[in-house]
Amino acid sequence: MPKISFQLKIILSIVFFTLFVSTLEKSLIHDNVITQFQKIKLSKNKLLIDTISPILSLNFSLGLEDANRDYLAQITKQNADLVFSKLTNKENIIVYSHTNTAAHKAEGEHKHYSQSIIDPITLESIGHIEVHFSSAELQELKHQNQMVTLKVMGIVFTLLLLFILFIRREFKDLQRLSEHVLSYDPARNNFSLTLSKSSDEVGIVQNAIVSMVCKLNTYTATLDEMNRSLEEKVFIRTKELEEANRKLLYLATIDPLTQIANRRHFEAHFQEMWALSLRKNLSISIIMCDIDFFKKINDTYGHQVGDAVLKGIAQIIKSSLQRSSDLVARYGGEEFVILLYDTDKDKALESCKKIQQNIRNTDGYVFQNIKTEPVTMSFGISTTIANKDFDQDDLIKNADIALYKAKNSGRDCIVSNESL
Amino acid sequence: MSKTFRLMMSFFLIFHALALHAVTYDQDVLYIFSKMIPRFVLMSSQKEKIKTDIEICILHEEMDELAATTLYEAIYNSYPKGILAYKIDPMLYNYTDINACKDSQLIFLFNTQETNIQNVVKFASKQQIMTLAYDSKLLESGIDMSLFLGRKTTPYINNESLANKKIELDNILLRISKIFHKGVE
Repeated sequence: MPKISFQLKIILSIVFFTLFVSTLEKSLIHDNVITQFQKIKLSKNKLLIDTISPILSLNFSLGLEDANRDYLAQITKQNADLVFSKLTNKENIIVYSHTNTAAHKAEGEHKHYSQSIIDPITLESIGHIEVHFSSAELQELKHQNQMVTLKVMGIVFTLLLLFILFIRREFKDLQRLSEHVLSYDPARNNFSLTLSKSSDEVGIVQNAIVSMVCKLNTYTATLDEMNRSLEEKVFIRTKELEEANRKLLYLATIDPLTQIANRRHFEAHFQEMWALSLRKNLSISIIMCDIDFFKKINDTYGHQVGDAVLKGIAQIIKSSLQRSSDLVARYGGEEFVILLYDTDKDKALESCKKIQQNIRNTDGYVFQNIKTEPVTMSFGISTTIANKDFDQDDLIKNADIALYKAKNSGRDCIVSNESL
Repeated sequence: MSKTFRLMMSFFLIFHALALHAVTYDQDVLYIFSKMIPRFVLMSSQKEKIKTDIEICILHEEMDELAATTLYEAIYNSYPKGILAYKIDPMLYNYTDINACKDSQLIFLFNTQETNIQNVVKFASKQQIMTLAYDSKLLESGIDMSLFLGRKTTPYINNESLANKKIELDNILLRISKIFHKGVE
């Protein structure tokens, strides 16, 4: 349903109100005046007849018919609007008759007012009088009423037009105000409305809007400041969280002593690399290595020196690996595991030999002026092409078996266990 | 009676009438009087004097007997059953028998000599009887009422003489009547 504008509603209301008032004026006042006039006319007819009837009846009763004629002639002369009168005696003979033909004809269909003439003493009917007054006055009154109504409606509609123009002007102010409000962009802070000097309703609303916008701007500035502060805090907290996460991640994945990946991290990485190898159908190798005679080092130099050896070995192995996909992790006390992605048996052996050589080349490990003799490691290699039928845990198991074999083979050696 | 005799009698009556300066009596006027007479009684304070009948005393000279009889008959014709509950009893008398009118409510006078008129005026004044004359000139002599025969016919009222007798007329009657003023025609 289409909406009607407030302006149009006001105008329509005034139009309908005007029509209603005019109709009311016509029906209540105008018609009432006409009705009253007609009543007065009727009363006049009745009054005339009531006035002349006793005279007529007395004259009739006294046999003075010519007196009645003369009397009615006088009455007719005195009442210019008496267009018809007729007096008959009890024999129904016309004693007197008067007709203003032109006026009487103009009346059209009309009702004569008539009454019997009653003998004042015997109370018998001795005649009949009939009169009719012209309704020219009534017609004139109706015409004047219509002219008045037309004039009133003319004046009212003229005033209405002026009022409409006035209203439109006022609504233009309202429209201008709404345009200002609608065009306001808080981001650009482009509110151009100022306080109004007018004390009318539009001025009041305008001042209220300006005040509201000022308050909004103030609160917006405060909010912006709070936001900035909040953002800073969030940034700091985020940084702290990230740092904490890194630490947590570090603690979750890094062996604190050797600073290489811990077993948990290795297993997660192994899962990932295994899945990748499976998808791409690539070789994946595991090297399990163990420090030879580590217990003896601990017993000889102490655990702290043993720790230094572990750190040293870890760094050597780490630095021997060149690819980011390759990972060395501390698997157990002095046991390390190395994951080589996309590495077949030969390349795994090559990498292992490199590590072995690097370790052999290290002339002991130092801790607080205590230096150990050189350390060796035993290596067990297990390689496979990743496939669904192969259990990935067997790859580690096989590497472990290979390491065991290396240990049993005299240590400081590499045993490769090619797993399928 | 021979034709000649009747002719001679008519001439004698006319001569007598002329000798007395009497008027000829208009039948229409007599008719009007016949209608008026009982009503004048009922439309005045004379109504209270009515016992059973409205008694009208018609006084006339001998020469006016015909006119008087005409009036008498006209009254009966106008009111064959009386008026209201009253019978109308007109009586014809000569001016010499005026005392017979003492119970009347109204005395009607045909023309006569001035002395007779004065006697009637005196008598009526004493008995408080309304007087009505055919000739309006008799109002000058103190008669109460007559008819004014002008452009229109209307009752002619001598308010002064009525007031002297304390006889009141209904207002409506006064409204249609011409009032007699002594010395003014």
